[in-house]
Amino acid sequence: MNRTKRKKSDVLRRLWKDYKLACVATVVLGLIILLVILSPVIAPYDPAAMDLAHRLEGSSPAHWLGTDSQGRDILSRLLTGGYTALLGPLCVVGIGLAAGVPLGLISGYTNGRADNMIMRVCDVILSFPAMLLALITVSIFGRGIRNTVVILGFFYIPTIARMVRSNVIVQKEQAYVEACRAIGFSAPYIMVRHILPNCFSTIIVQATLCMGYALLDISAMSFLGLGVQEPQADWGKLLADGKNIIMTNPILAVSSGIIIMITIICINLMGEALDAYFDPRRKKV
Amino acid sequence: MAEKPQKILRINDLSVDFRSEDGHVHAVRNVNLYVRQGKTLGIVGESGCGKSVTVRSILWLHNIKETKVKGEILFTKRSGEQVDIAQMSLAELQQIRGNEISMIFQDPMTSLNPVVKVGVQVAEALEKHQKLGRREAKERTIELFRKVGIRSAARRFDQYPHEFSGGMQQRIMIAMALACNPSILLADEPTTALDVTIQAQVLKSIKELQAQTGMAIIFITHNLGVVAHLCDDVTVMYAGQVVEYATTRDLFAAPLHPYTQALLKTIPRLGMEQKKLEVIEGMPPSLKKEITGCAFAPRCTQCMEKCKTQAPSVRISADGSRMVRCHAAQI
Amino acid sequence: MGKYILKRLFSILVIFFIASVIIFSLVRLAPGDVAASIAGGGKTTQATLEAIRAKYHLNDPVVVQYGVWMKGILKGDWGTSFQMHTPVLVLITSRIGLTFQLILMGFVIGILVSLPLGIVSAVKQGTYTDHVISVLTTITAACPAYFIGMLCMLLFAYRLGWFPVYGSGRGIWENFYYLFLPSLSIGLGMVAMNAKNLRSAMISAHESNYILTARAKGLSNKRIILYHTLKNAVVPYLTISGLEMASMLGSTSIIERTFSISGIGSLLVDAVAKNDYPVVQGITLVIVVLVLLINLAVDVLNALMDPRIRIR
Repeated sequence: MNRTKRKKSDVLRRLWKDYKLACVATVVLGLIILLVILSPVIAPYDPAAMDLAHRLEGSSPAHWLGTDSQGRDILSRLLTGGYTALLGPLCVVGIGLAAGVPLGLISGYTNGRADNMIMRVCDVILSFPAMLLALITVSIFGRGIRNTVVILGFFYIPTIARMVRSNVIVQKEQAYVEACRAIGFSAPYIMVRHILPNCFSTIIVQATLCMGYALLDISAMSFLGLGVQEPQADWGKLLADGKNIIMTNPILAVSSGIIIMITIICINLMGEALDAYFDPRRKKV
Repeated sequence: MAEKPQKILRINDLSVDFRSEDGHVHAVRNVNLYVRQGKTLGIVGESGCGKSVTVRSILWLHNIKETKVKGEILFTKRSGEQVDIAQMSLAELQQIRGNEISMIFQDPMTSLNPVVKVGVQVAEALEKHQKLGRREAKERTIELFRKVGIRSAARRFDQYPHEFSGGMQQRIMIAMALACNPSILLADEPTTALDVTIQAQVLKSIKELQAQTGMAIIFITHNLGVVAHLCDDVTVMYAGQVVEYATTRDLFAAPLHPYTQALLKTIPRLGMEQKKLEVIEGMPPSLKKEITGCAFAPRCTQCMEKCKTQAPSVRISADGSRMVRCHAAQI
Repeated sequence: MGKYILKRLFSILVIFFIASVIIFSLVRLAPGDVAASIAGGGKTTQATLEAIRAKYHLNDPVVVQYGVWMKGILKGDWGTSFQMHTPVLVLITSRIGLTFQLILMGFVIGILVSLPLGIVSAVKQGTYTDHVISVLTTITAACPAYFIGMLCMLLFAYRLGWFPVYGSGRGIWENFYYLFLPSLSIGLGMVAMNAKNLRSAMISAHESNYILTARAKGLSNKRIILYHTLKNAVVPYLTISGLEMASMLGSTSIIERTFSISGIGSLLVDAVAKNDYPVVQGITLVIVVLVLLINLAVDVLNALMDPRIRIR
């Protein structure tokens, strides 16, 4: 019984030793997520509640971060704004993975005409900035956070598919795949049951990094007024609101920008740590 | 008896340690070597015995952060001045590298910069060390190319490494090394990566060039046939130490160290009766730990009790031409 | 080398053709009646809708519609903006110069900053300097370009008054002054990725055998790093820079909005907001061509730097 106890704290200690930054990042991110989840409870005001008598006020005991141009409490809007900012990237990356992983698997495994076609299409899509494609597509299909997420997710598919594909191609050369084929397993079975688990590490790292990008893109879309619509709050939208009043009350802009930055930094640090952890050159003790 | 040529390079008590994740690797342990002017010294041994590390130390080509080096490397420059390479500053080292002592490496394809024209790679040594202008350096390079046997030299100047075959690439490396007329050429298995027929051609070129320039050569190889063909003297290394030293003739005629004897036995001969190839049983020892006794003891057919506990000391013949590190050998 | 360029030009034409088909069909994909969307969504009579359908050949087979549209593009008739009733081409040409300048300046700043950072952090790998640079790049990578823009605007323009707060000047030279802050924000966004990429490319190039040869030749450290190593590391660096420049074309919309610059980026955002399809189509076409040209330039530069690419 003593032995298992020691193991757990040992693992934690080694995690701290090797990945200090990432541990801090995870804790910070966890805190942010917690605050956002609890926002209905802990937000001092209703984020949509307008109080035109107290517009554009600076920091005060009543409003810790002041109010915006419509008298809404900035702190509350900041807290609730996290919903779309945190869920959004998850959905975007989720869509990207849901379609990108199978595409990459098939593409990499078959390596024939289908692979060529898929890769060509991916290349064409990838050579254009996602932002741009999202802008144009949103103009066609309408704005709103739901469309934004779906469209962005769609445009992340090629990145993920490409990455999975190159991983699959490497795996295909391994001896165990040949062994599977010799035993007579079918291609889909090999792909899902054997090759896919070996790609997990790259997928996780890439997915983490994509979440950072997705957050940037969602915020950008909201900043342009194409993502989240009034009266909902979103960090990107708050940044846009903040820009308009930046001369009189910079708190809104600065605080929403900073929270976006901190979240992305945490995500990226975690991604880098995961990348270093899965690096085959790292000596595993 | 004719006066023997001067020893232009002497390595005294060289030890090289690499720092690794779980301790130190004692790659080279108390090695003593020398080479005479105009002569060829061969260094043989299996992979990991420390021959490359030893020779790279001559030009101090280690990764300084991970390596600890002790010992003396005494070199007599063209000017006659004797210097200790182990004590030199980077600037002084750079003045010797490629200039007084040159080195060629095993795999010419990866040893040449793929994005730089081959002519430029040779000319830059000339520009740096002999202070030649660009056009002069180019002309000299084309001359060098012709000398090492590269045809259409003027056109080839502007080509890139991937446009040459393996043998040609190695000739380019040789041209690069000989550009400034070094007094010593260090060759780290330059023919190992080449086809056998090309090997013979390259070795022939090296021999001819040596005759023309009078330079000394230190030639690392694990191929005893090459040693017999090319080298005047031979050093045998095992587990980071020198275990035997002799002239080529003496070594092949009467090897003293059990390891050398076993090595010679493994060479398959044409017209051999037996069906099975000779091997040396066992593996070389790990260099991470201190070795007590003789390093070769576990694999030695002549191993005695004291070999396991007492490290053999070096025995040198009366005229200094032979050396062996063994309890059993008789000099 | 010439053959390589021709091959690339050909594939560019193919991609352009495919992209134009997509752009053309996008409008047709919008939910609802195409004629109604073209009419602008107000109250329209049947006659107006019929007139629109005739004008835009909406009753003809799709292929014909595409042909008409393409012919118009090549002849210089890019349609008219619904909102501003000006020819699309005129709108674009009057504003594209500004965007060009913005992106070029941003790109130059990006390279000027990321190149030395990448080299220094590679040379000083593992030291304090390397870690500091790594931290800086992590932070910059997480910063939305428009946030940097706003901070710059707040600090340098508003508080310190060193630069104009928004807008653009007259003529190219004055624009260097006006566009400095926006191009700084756009350029810094690309620094992180580039510097990291250059660093790892330099480190891996430095560990190769040919660098050992270069050292054995007695070349100076400066020559080894800045010529032999860098020349090998520069190809992936250029490729990423090209991608970054292409993505700048995306983020230019946001920066132009932030700093109230009337380039094609802000034009695009406005057009998207107002469903002004001809403008959206026109700008998209322009950006597609620009992206393809950037990719071509990157490929040609890479082929110049690395001779092995030319034979592929």
